[in-house]
Amino acid sequence: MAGGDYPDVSMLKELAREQLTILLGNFYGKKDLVIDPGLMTPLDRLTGVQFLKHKGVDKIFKLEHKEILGGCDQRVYIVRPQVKSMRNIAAHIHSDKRAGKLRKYRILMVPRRLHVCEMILEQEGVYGSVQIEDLHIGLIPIDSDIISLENPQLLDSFFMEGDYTWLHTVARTIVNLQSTFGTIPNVYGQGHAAKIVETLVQTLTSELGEKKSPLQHKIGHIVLLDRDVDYVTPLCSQVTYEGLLDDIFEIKCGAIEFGPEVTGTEKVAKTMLNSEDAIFSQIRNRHFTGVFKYLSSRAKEIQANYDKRHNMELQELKNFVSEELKGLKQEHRSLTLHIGASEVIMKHKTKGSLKRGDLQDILGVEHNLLEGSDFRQCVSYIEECIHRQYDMLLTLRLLCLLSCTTSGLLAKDYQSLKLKFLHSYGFEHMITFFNLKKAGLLTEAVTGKEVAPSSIESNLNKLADSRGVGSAVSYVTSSLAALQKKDWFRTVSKKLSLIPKAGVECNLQNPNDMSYVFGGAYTPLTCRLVEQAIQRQGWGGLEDVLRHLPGTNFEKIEARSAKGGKSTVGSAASKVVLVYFIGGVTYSEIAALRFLGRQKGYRIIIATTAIINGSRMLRSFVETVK
Amino acid sequence: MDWNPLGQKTISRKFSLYSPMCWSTKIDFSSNLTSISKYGGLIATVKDESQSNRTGNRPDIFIFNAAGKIISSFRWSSGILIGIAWTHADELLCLQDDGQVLLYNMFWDFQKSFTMGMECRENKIMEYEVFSSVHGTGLAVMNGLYRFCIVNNIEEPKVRILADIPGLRATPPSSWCVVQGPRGAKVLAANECNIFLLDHSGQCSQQKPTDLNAAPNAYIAMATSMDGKHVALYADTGTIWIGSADFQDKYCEFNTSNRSRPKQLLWCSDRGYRNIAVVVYWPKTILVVSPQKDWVRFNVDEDNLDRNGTGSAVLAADVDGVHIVTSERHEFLQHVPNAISGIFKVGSMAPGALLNDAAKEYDKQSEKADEYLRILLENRQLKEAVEQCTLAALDEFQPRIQKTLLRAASFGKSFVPDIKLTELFVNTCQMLRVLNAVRDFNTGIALTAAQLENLSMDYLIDRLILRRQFHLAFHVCQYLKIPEKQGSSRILSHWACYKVQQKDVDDGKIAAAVRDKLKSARGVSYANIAEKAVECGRRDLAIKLLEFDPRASEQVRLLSLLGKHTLALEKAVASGNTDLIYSAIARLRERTSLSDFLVAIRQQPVAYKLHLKYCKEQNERMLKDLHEQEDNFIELAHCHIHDSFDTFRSDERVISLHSALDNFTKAKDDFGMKMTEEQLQLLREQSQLEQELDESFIEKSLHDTICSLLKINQLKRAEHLRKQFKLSDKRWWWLRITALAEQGNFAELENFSKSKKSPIGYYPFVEVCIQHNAYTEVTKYIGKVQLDKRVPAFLKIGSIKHAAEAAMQTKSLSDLDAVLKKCGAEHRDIADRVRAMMMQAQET
Repeated sequence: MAGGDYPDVSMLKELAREQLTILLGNFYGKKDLVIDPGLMTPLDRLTGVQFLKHKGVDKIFKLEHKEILGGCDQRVYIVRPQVKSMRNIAAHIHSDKRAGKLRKYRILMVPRRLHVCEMILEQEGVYGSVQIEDLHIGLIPIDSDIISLENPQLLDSFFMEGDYTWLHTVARTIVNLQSTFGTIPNVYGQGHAAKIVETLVQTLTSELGEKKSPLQHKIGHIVLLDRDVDYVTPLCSQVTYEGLLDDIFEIKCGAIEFGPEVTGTEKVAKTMLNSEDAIFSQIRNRHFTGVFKYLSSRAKEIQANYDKRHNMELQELKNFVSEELKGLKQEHRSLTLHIGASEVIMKHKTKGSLKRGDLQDILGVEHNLLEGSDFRQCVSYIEECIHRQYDMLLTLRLLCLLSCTTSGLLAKDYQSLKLKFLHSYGFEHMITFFNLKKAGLLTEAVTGKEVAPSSIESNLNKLADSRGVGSAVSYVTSSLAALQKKDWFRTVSKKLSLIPKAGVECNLQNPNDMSYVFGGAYTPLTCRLVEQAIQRQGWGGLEDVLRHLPGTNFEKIEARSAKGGKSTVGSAASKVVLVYFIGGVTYSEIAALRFLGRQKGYRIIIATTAIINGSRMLRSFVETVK
Repeated sequence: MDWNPLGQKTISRKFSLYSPMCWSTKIDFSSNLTSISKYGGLIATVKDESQSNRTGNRPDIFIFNAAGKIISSFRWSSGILIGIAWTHADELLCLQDDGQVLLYNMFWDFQKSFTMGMECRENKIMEYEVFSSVHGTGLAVMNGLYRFCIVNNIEEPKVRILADIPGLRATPPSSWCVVQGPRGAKVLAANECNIFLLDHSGQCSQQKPTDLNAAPNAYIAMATSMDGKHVALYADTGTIWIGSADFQDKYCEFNTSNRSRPKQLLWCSDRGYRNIAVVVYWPKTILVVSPQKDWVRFNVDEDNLDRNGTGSAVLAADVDGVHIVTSERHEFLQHVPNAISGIFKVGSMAPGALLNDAAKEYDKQSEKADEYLRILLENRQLKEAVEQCTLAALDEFQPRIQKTLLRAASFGKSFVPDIKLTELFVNTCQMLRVLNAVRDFNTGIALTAAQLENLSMDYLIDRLILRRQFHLAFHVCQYLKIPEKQGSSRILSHWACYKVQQKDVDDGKIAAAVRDKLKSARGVSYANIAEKAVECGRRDLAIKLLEFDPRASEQVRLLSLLGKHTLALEKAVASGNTDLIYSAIARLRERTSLSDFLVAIRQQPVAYKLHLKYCKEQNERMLKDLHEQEDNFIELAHCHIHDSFDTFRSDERVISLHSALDNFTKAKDDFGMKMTEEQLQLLREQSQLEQELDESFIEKSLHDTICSLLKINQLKRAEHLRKQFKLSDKRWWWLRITALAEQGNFAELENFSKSKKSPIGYYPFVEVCIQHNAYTEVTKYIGKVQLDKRVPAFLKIGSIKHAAEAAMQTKSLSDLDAVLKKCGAEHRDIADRVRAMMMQAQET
């Protein structure tokens, strides 16, 4: 299979750059940039300082709630359309006015302006002083097979607050992808958000006037998945190398910063984590136990290559220096960093710091929860975490996992754990618990007696009455959902055999199953769904599984020829699958999907609203006190 | 066919476009006001009230297409009509004697009106001329004071009054006409034999025709050419002076030997003004005079010649000829286009003629065909010949001749492979197909190919739309493969806009009909159609139509405009575009009372949620109101909890928490109540502690508070809190041992361990000791720890020997292995024993 047939997602980067070039070019002359902190890394990823300087950018500031001193006469804000940012900008303009400083302001809103923001600017009395433009930065290519909106807000704003502003953005990016890579013929989806997105894609396409893409489509299938279909996976500790890096050091937009503990020097080393790094691409998806072995064998090889030069003739040496040495040096650098990082990970794993607990213990608890065994023991471990005031996000993660795998906690357990949690971490987490309840992450199971049947009925009727896109969000309360899906995780994992049977050892070095990403204990539900969807070319036969999952499922399959044979279009495209995670994806799932792709001969491209892990996912629900 | 040579080079012809006319009764044009439009020959006619006796019956205006088929008729009901004329946009300009100008479309829909000014109103208008200028259509009138008023462009009716004619006595000027100039139109007027050029800046200059031989008493008619460069003056001696508009060049002076005032004097030119001629019309006779003094006379068939001898034909100049309309037929007078004359001139040896002959002979299967073809090939003229035949066909009106010529062209074309010729041929066929279709008497647009070229195809389609020939327009667009947006979709939209104006048809039917037709069309804006419906006062229809528009933003905009804010909100919600929802919410909020607003928004869960979110960020008071409205006490309680953390003042904090407590009570949430009460209690305790201990406690969790107390050795107070909040023993033990270890108070730690049986086991003691590097302390507790946990603990504190012993007891391979790894050179014997044990363990 030739590489040229595959959709090249780096095109998206060029599109974004072009846009920025035009927008900055229109604002002639020297200007300062003020950037939303959340957009710093993505923008850096897309452009880089050199590029911006070339477009006349003088200084770059971070948008914060404080004045910016100095700077030139023109200023460009690049922000997400958020109320807070608008207020900050308005404050800047007011302070300039007070100081008698005349400036021109432009606001580029990513990915589009919102009416609310304009309203705020108007209320603040600065609407007339600014010019607002849209900067359609959609999916940012993180790697050759990962594209991300880098917009973690979607998770809480949709799944908790029912605000689907960002779903519109998701839909728009799909429309854009289709105009670049051709209309995707097969669509499968599961979840409230996925359904809305699918409808929006159709609406947007018809609003655009059904511009038939002249291209042969390059992507054969798209699978849309809501995060709340599978909260369990991101709640588990990651054990692949890349996943561990993310859990321990936090990967931002495909780049990572290693502190002194890794580099062994004072300096902080920033490095890109993608398939261009030969060493990293070999280890990123491995289970951690296999990483060290590979690194050491690799180190030996490199050493051998270095050593070659001792017995070289002059001419050979010249060639070596000019051709191989640079590559070797790069590999050497990357090797050093990854060995350093692995050591840090080892420390975390075996010792467990004061606030984190022992990773082995935690993994043990997680596995028990996934299997549904030793419930009491798990609860008491979580209690210990609370009593010892372990890292709050860790505790919360285990709590949520407990709730998600058991379809909500019994009132008694819920209350006692919540009480203990509040005693340890503070009363403000009343709100955190409330948020998590709304999102369905940490819920209180309602026993049949407490919910009057009539109220369920009325809720169901309401659900049935409401039509169209909008209503899909009108969730039934999470308690009702829990009631309907009592023990759904158990059922689903049995039906999809997510948990391997006891006694079946998973080979972690040469895996033969996706479950290796969790040490053979669990196959991520989302990944299994993707596997089933593309294998079955739809959801057919899975009805009794999907029934247990939140949201609705849908499929739209390209008409096949009458003979029932394969579709006539390029067979290369039919092997390309785009999986869109609405609400975020973890590195473990990415690793599993990569494995799936290799195993079944598919090219899987992962699109997501953000790359998350357990902590980042929960952080968006945690109430912070000023 | 009526061909007449006009001098050496040019030939003029007069031929029938339509004969007989479609009108059923004969029309007496001699007593009518009549206008024929350019580019298509629409005919409007109305009885001239000023000529006939006023009977009290108001006249009917009839509008016909070029073939005389009636398009519409209406009774004139306004003031005294003195003139009608078609504008460049095919609107009918109706001029009243009081200077009021009214514009109608051909279906008598009123378009606009303006007036020619006070002076015209007071001194009735006597004469007028409508002219086309670069700006559009212009109007010049002469009022009772013999003063001229001009509007250069009726779209922006700005009246300019021209200079007076000098020396004018009580008689009107003997003749006048409009002259086009670069800076607006001027008027050329004759007072007997003196000619003056009048302009709007009050200038007036006398003009003298150069080299005038005749000595007339008066000029009784004059006309300027359409491009404003030439002028013809008709003197009462029967002489026509033809020259340049600035009177400097005289082209010729021609004596018609007819002293009567011509009924019409006008210019006939061809496209590009290469051939020009003056056309003079007296009843029954048309005289064509060229600047070279060549002339031709044509007869006009006027069967019902009026008693007083006034002619009953109407002439109107078009860009490439003159329309002649009589009661019997619609004729066209033009210079024969070069291509046609080249082929059909008697004895012509032009390549086109030869090719035409060759094709004829070929059809007869005569060898002469080859002969002609050879001549053309030898002279390398075949390409030219094909071009001529093709172009001639284009300029020809009769399909029979078009066919002959095209056949000839096609015949010749097969001998000259040339892509350009093919293109020309194909384009010509297409053009002709369209032209023949619109010329059909039902449509009756008498358009020549040259006119079409000037007009452009797009405008032709526009005209078809104006004439409500939607069906034809649609097919023309499809035939020419015009992109849907400019073509078929646009036409369907126009059709729909027309359809919604049909007042007698029921809303549902119209909506269904529109939907049915437009279903398959792309890029149709239903919003525009709906807007049209709104204009016609059909709001319900508009709302029905909006349903079809895929663009939610348009729907929402228009629905808001219609005041249907709730429906707009519904549509916005369905669109999934939250931005749209926000603006719909904002408009709804502005336009309705708060209670109505709340009712409306509650019915839209999505919008409701968005509004909640907005309020959370913007207007917390409103947020609480909303929750209150919904009896959503749990939400309210959490809002208050949130508030309690927003303030630093403890009294406010307490108030907020009490509100939260109230709401939990209302919600019957016992657990929430309990939690809140506890928090209040904690705050009380904390503030008391702060007073007593001079340390900050507020903001801390219960756990942290106790922890701080233990650190500063306030064991009593810590115990008090423990009891107050019923802390579990486990937590208490954890708190104690960590605090003690942190303080390095290992003696107390040991005492504490012995105080009673530890609820958390003894491994935590080991752990905290290790953490604080008190390895010696570890041994005190390790005996009480489970075997399997001892190994790592011993290893940790460097006691290999004990570790090995413990490992031997557990017999766990991993433990043994861990020990082995730690064994250095000095522990050889231990290592050996461990290895032995491992062997043993593996065997079993």
